[in-house]
Amino acid sequence: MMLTWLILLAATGLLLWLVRPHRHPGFAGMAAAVPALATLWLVAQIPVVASSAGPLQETLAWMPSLGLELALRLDGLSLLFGLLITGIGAAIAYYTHWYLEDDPRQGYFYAVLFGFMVSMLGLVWADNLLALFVFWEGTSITSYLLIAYAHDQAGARNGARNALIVTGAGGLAMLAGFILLGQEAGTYTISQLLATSGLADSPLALAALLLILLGAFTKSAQFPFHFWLPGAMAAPTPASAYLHSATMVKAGVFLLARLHPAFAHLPLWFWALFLVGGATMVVGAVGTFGQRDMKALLAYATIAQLGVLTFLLAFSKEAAAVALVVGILAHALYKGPLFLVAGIVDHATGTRDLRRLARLHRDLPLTTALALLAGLSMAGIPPLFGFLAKEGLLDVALYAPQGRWIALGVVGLTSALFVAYSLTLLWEAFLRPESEAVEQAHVHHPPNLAFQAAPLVLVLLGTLAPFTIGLWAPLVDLAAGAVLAAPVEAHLALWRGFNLVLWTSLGLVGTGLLLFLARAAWRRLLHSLPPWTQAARTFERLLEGLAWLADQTARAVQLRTLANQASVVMVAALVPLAIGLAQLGDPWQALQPDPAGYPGLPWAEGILAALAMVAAVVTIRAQRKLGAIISLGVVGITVTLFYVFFGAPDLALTQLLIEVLTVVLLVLVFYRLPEDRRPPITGWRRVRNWVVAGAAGLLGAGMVLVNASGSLQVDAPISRFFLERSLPEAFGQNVVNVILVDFRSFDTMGEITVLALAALGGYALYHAPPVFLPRRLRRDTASPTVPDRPTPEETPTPTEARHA
Amino acid sequence: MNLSFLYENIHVLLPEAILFLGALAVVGADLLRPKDGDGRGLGALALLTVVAGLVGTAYIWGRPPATYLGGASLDGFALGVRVVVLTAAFFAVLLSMGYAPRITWQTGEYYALLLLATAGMSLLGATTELALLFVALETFSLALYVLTGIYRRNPRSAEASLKYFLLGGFASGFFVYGAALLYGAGGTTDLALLGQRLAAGEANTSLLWAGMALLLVGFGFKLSLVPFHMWTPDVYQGAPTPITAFMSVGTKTAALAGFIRVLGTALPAQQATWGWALAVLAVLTMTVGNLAALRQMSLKRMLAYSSIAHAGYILVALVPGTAQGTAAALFYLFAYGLMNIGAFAVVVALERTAENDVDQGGFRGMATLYPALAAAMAVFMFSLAGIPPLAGFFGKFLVFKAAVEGGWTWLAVLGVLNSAISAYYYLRITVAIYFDQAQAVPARNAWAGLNLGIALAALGTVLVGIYPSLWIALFQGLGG
Repeated sequence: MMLTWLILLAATGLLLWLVRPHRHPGFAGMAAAVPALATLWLVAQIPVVASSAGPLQETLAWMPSLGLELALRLDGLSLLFGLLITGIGAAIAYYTHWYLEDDPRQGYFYAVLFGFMVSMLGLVWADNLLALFVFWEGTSITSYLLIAYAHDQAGARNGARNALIVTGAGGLAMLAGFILLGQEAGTYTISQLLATSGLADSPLALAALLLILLGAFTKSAQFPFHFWLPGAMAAPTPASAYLHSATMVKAGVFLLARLHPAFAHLPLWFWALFLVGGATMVVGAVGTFGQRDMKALLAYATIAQLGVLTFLLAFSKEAAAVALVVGILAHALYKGPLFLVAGIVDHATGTRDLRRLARLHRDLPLTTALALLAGLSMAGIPPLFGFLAKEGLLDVALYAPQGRWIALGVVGLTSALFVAYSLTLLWEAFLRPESEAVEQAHVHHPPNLAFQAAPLVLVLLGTLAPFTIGLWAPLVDLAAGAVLAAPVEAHLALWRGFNLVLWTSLGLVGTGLLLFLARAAWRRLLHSLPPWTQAARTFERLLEGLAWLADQTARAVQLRTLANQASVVMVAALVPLAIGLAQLGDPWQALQPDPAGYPGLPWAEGILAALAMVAAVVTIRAQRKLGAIISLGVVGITVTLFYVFFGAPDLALTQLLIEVLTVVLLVLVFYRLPEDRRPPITGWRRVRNWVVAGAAGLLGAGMVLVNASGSLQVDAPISRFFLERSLPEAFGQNVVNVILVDFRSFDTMGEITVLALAALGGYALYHAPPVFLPRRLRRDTASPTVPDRPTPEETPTPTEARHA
Repeated sequence: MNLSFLYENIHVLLPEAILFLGALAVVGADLLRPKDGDGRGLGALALLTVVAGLVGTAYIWGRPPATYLGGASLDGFALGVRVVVLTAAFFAVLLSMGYAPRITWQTGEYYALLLLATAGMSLLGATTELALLFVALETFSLALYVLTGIYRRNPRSAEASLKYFLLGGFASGFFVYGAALLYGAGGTTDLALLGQRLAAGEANTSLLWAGMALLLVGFGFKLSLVPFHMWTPDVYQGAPTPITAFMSVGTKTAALAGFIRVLGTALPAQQATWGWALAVLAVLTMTVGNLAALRQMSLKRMLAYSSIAHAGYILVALVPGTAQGTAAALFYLFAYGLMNIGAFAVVVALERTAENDVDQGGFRGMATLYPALAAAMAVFMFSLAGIPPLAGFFGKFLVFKAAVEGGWTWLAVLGVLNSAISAYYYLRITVAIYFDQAQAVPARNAWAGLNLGIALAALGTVLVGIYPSLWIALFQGLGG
């Protein structure tokens, strides 16, 4: 059934694309209906999952050979998230139609939105790490497409880039963690993996945990990765409300909750989540005061709330798990509507800038009422849903087993700030009589009821929730139970008497009120902070640093000239060869003369070697080309003489012939070349040349050593075969000739053919007309950078010119 | 004289025979074509030849193992390499159809050399013998040296060709020297026999080590592993773009096939040594490739460095020396082939012929003008970055899985972190395509073959990603 829902939702998205839904409001109802039905189905599953039957499971073999299967599992946690995704999704789907009124690309937006919904549902239902990762990245791609929807807006670019890079890189780090974890546990199935005992104790699992935390923190916009979330606010408001508040950014929190049973007992887990969550809360809550854009303010508020959720996950107490679940529910039911309201304001007035807004309660009474209910819930004012969530948080902080004073300080500050920025938002946008800016915004385009229906429903649900605890408490028990992997029975109540928690809470509301009144000072303070405190800027700096490193690397590895490139290959080749030589043991032994079978003349050999070396040096140092060529010939002839000494006269003869021919050809060619007028090579290039030449020499010497070591005779010599058979079988006295024309006649024939073809080719080239472009090509490719005439490399060579 | 041995089991080389004959047919047809023709028919003939080669591959698929003259064998591995190489050639011909006539009037030579290079690459997958390995290597290399420089009016093309030729000749020297030493060590050029002798300890070890080292340099050059990669950006940038696309996939596949043959058949007993060498090279190659790619302004150079990094990922699969690793490498090459050729195809679509390249300005804000092209490029970039559910993800997944199962976990983790770095420059391009303002109207070349090629590559990238089982099963069977 879960799979059916996924397919059904995907199909709905595609269908909406096809029907071009911007034409008629009826399509909004259609878009909302399918996710709403899915929500109802999920509600019906609550008793089933709570019963003894336990979580629902479905498996579809996807890549059985890889152990990758599409395993879906519906337990308390995935039920909770599934409800949020489909429920909020239905509201968003309905709202989108009016937000993107008459936009012909609405259908496309719906298709991607539903694609995102499917990915997100798959993510929370998956029971396989790899399937989870696939869906995880699916949310990255679809969210990217949703942000890209408004790509013509200026300023969207950096935000989208940062969002994509931060979450993309984090996701890949997480994949590395998943692979390690799956390898360590021997399974990629999450439910089995969590049941593996002692999994968290191996060092490999610790590394895996660190990588996975990186993925979760980046996705859930935790400090210091929080900066991408405000940047992503360029997305259309329905997408911001859905992705950047209710669902996608909670994927990291979800993953942490999922892994909680296996790792929560580790000190690393506690301190990482405690500190990162705490820092994120404060940074997010303080950051709201720097914002004048409604959506950006809400984005920072969301960061703060995500910090709260991460912070709560550090603990393994029942109260913390319950507070987490309530926090998630409450946040979805107040932050979602607030974003939607921001979208309505934007739609009605054409701006979201708090400086230009004021007294919207006159023109938008219903919207203002919704904003008030949701905003006060965000502030945690009783008896709203946010109050319940804050009570839970304070309860955890007041009775924290470790780091209580830090916890209290952080939570207290954050809660007070929650009050302050909620009031700021409500006062400045909706209630105050006059705006700061001269150019006050006006309502041009009042929203109809249908546009406001989605936030209305969500706010109603949120407002009623504290009074109907009994109805949804089973869900909290189930979800919290899944986080702790133990049965939980929550005791939620709006009124629990005058206890420490309540007094603290009231005190914080008072503090928040004071902070609200002093908000101008706060803003000045925030704006006077040095720029490095802004994470987005630090990230830019980091990117610049990476770019610098990349530039250096590129400069180091990107050697443009051929000489440099060849030098590196030569020197690099020496390294593996040296390793190979090191295996030899004592290479010098190879140089000991073998007195038994040595036919040569030691002193003559020495003279020849010395002559070759002198000639080589002369070749390099020669001032004139002719001298260089002649001394190069001397090198070749000394090598030929070596062959003579070792009893290979025919080889020596061949070599001699070739040497002579080469010298003659070189002289002919160089004679026609112009004088080389380049300045002599000096400085480091000279040093480099010495090094490379030395390396090449070492390479050659090393090869000689290798060849000389040990016995080269690996098989019986083949010469006996030819000596025995050339006369009786081929009737030839000269064995070499017999080999050429008889034993290996196929080879000879092939060589002759090659020579003949090469000669033909040479002849053809010699008589070829000079190379010019055909007229047709000249016309087609005429452009400023390509001259119409042949470019230098096409000018005829002397040979060709002669025949032209 | 009995010459029947010459055609016994000749079906082993059926696809190569088809390609060689096709190359000859193209040259012949070139002689007959009218003076003013633009050689479009030659492209069709080349395409037909490649398709016939694929049909030939299918024809010998599943036949019992056989060898031809002891030098080439019919096995799963050879078939897998052919699939990748011929797919790359198929796309290369599609991309060349409107391209070749613009840059050269020698379209006949162009397609004939392309087919010969394909034949050499495809032969390399089938060889089980050192000498034939070298012949195959040189067959495709020589053809590519010429093809790189065939855009004769472009100075960069000529420079690239000369550099490629000189450095490539250098590397071939290393290779052939190494092969000779291996022959000296084992007394045979037959890889399987060599492996037996080496495993039995009958070999001359000093020659073996030096030979291995030199072969590593030779293959390292062809695979453009760091530090033998220097030619790659220059050559990829200078060569005509369809040739670059073909080279980036074909050369890597073929060289890797030869590498796997040598390592897996002749040197499995020495895995403990070359495993480490390969691991070091893999880390260097991935990291340097990715870092250098980050800041390239030219799209072709960026893709060149990115292809270097991908060679590093593939090398990770080879380090443990397992059959799984081989299968993973083949699958990776197939996935990489689709997405990388696709990316180069987009370059072909966007470049101005005279520049033979695309820089930042050439694709900025292209999404508004050419939404389909932008979407295809986004698919290729996401896939190259390894984001599921696209082909590139499963390639990376299999490669890293093979490494982890072979006991090289740290290497796999470094690989994944590297692909996280690489996400930066792939996604940067996607962002520029979608979010930047177009400064000028980007060029848009279009011909049926190009559009078909881009569409097929994008479709393939998505389909292989969504349903990888089929391909993985196919290549898994070929690993042995």
